[in-house]
Amino acid sequence: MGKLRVIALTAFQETLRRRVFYIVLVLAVIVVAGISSEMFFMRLARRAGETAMLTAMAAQTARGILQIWNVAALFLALFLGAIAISSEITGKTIVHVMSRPVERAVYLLGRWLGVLLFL
Amino acid sequence: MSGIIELEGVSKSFRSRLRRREVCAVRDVNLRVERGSVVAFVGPKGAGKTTTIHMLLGLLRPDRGRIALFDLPAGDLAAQRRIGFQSEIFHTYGFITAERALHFYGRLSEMAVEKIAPAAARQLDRLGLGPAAQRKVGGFSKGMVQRLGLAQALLHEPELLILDEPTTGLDPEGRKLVADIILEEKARGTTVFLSSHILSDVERTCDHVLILRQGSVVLSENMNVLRAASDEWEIELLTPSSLVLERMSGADVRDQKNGTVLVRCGATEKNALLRRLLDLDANIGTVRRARSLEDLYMQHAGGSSSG
Repeated sequence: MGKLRVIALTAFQETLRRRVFYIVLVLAVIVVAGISSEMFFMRLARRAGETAMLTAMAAQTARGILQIWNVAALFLALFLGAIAISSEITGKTIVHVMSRPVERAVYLLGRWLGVLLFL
Repeated sequence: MSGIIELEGVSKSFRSRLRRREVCAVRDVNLRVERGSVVAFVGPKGAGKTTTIHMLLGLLRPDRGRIALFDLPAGDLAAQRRIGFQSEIFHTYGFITAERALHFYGRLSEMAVEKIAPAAARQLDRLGLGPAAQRKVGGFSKGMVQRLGLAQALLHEPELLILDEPTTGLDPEGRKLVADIILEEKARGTTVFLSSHILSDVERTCDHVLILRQGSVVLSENMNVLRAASDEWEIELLTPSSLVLERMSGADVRDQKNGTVLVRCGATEKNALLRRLLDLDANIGTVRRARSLEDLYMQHAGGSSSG
């Protein structure tokens, strides 16, 4: 399906250029900073021979990261999903897509896949 | 044989945001475009040209009436494959290069991958965008974007070209290029449906003209008939004296308000009238054929821009 591919790819590239992408980047930096500080404390714990504390800390860190990503992904999905089609209508780029032999289902699926690829 | 485009009793209205007022954009339009012809669709802004075109493309559904393209209902994929379309302002993604944009539109038109690159290069060269093929569209000037819009409409060599004011934002050179391309496409056998209000371009390129006003077709005429009917001449007089004006009474004299006066006459009276004017030592500016299309336009579509 060539049409589906190019629509999804374009939607993906478009998402990469949205401002929301920078929010994700900032979030990623915070997560990385969090991990490195946790690692620092874990290293201290290992040196002190606190193995029980070490495993608890590792599990907690992993949980924390997943939780942050969960919330971020939720908001991103909401935001990107909401504007996936409406931005094409306000930008009028949809006119030159839908005036071609493109089924509406293929178009919607393509836009959805583009956002999904990003997430 | 049936026409390439057929509209029968097509109407479309829009409701305002608060659903209080209904605005009729297109009212009971009937039209027929024959294969290989170049048809101009002219009218003031808001006359319903773009709404009609969007209905032809299947982007809008008419409230009433029947639309057929290639004997297929509007919006049918088989019909859309055979259409090339350019909107008044070509909106595309700014982050891709001109070449990638054409690849995108070529794929959407179901072109074979290996055929897109040579076709894209050909169209970009044809529209003077060859050197900009690798540049991002976001950095293009308005005129370049419009040219790219025409390139994507021509890319898959469609049988029917629907151009909605293709010369918007173009300089005189670009406008000439568009007119030349329309004539080239006509010679190739392409049917062209052109919405425009640049009447000189319409006169040069079109076989048939439709004038739209407030959503209705008010005139549908063959250009050859119009050209034959324009056997009238216009003599421009610069700052004519009262004596000249006095002697011209009885002729069709139109004051232009900028100190010049236009005298209209038929082809047979032209020489005699010129001789009389020279005898009076009148200051003659230009002598030219009266622009019948412009007159017709002002007569049928002028004086209103709402609808």
